[in-house]
Amino acid sequence: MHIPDGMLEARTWIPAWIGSAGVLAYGARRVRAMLSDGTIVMMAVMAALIFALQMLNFPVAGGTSGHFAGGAAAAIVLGLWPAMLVMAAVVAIQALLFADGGITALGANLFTMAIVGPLVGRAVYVTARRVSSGRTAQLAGSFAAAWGACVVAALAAAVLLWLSGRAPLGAVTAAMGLWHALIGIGEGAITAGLAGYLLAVRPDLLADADRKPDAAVVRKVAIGLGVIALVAASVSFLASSNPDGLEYAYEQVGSAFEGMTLLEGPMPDYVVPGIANETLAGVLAGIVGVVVTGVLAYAGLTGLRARRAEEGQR
Amino acid sequence: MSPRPHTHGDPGLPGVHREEHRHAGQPAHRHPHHHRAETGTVPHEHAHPTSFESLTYTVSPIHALDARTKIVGATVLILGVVLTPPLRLAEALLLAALLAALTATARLPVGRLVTRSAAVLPFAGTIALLAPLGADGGSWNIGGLMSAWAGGGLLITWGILSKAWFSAFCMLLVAASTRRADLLGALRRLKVPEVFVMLLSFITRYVGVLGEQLRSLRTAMVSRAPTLRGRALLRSLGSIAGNLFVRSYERGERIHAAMVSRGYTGTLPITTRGRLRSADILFMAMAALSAFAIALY
Repeated sequence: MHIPDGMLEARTWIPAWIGSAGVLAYGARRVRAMLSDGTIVMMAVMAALIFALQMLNFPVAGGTSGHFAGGAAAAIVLGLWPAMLVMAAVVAIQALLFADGGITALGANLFTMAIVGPLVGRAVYVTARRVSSGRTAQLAGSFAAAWGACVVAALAAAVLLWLSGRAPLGAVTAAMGLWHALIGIGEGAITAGLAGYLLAVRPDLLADADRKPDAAVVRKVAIGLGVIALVAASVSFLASSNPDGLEYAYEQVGSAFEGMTLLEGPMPDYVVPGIANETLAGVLAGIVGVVVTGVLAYAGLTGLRARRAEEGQR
Repeated sequence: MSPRPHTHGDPGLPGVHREEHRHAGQPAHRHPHHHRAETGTVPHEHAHPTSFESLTYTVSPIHALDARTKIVGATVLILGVVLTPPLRLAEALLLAALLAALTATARLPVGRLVTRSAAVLPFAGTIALLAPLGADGGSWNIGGLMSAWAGGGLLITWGILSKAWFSAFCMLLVAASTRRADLLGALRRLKVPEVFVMLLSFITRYVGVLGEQLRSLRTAMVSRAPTLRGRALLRSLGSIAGNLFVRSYERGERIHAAMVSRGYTGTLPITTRGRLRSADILFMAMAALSAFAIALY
């Protein structure tokens, strides 16, 4: 699900870049403050490991194959913030050195694979572990975490594509969701196998994960992401349901000639003004979306904290 | 010449590879002196001659540019491509000519870059075929003759595919013409957070080692249980992942100890300290001009 360049509109990839860069920069600071040098070196080796493990291919269906992604596995073993950074490094290397995923689309790819994936994986695993700390619960939890991370990340990518007006929501979510629900089985089984191996050989590595203080963070970030998604969706609806006058005229007049553009080449009169406006509108919508989201998230979190403080006093 | 041990440095030039001067002009791996003493058991020090990375050891004017120039230039060019409406014929030709000229100047194999950048097409193609469905209420006009609406849909498909492919080619040009260490140093100097650059540098350094370990684990599994399928196969792959995880964890501890013993204090030194020269300025101006031409035309 590496989105290449040119597929997302500016109204999607610019906010995605800003949002992902913000989250990861915060994560980098948290990790720097939280972990010792030794642990950071360890984390860096784990990044190389996850990258290497992505060579693990497994057959999916109809002769095709998927490969291990590792977001949930990283989140289970390393904790939320280190896992996000590790996955971000993996995704960034793929874009930089292998042209797997675009540069303008890097923000969006980081969002789906380095933020949403580990977040979902961590949340599911922590929940399962709270229910029971037995072996079966942990294995089932790892499976569910990896499957969920895979599917939700794919759905997030589908939503980004839809926000860019690339495909109808139904078609793109169905295509991405179904395919990754299949791949997710392999991902889940391998992650469960990994967890089972660790439980048998080095259970301390998994027990360490429990002590990482991120349960509260998981909840906060999940709420924040939900709000972002809602606001971004509504803002982009507002932006797209009111085409401006030029675009309207273009739709009326231009459609008759559209079939020929491929062959005829330059038709600057109608293409540039319309698109220039659309891009500008998209960027503005993105900025408005980010600001509104930030304000809402801040208000929500402060409200929560205030209420909790009140409850504490009683 | 009689076989001699593969040594680094000689009394006259401390710290300098004795054969350094001979490396100019071709990938380091072509040199026989690297192979004389290496008889299978000695691990390879250099990138494999068929690997993509070995292309970064070519000598060319593009390879000599500052890594920052190439990263920024490629990003600007990609921005131009991404922000423009579906590429028109003139724009596509301009881009193709530009990329061909750069590839030739960089003395890189065109065919290899083309096949490798075509790897974006499967995913891009899927979405590119879905996209016309959303254009003005569905424009795939499969049954009838190609109407104007279908043409509009195809235009979107072309837009997605061409932009994805051109952008991927730009990035591959950077990746093939810049050594890994220079690329990472440039990222650091472009203010990417240090923790992050460290993760990137560890990936490039250790992925070969860990990938090799993974391959041997898998070979061991296949040779002992060649008929594994389905759930059992996935479970074994999981055990392999877990095994490699534990090994890497322990390797990480050793690496950290080694780094500390060599004076690691928590920050990685930047080793590349080149300055931007006039060629870099020229290159950036060219990239910016092309990007503007494509975006605004």
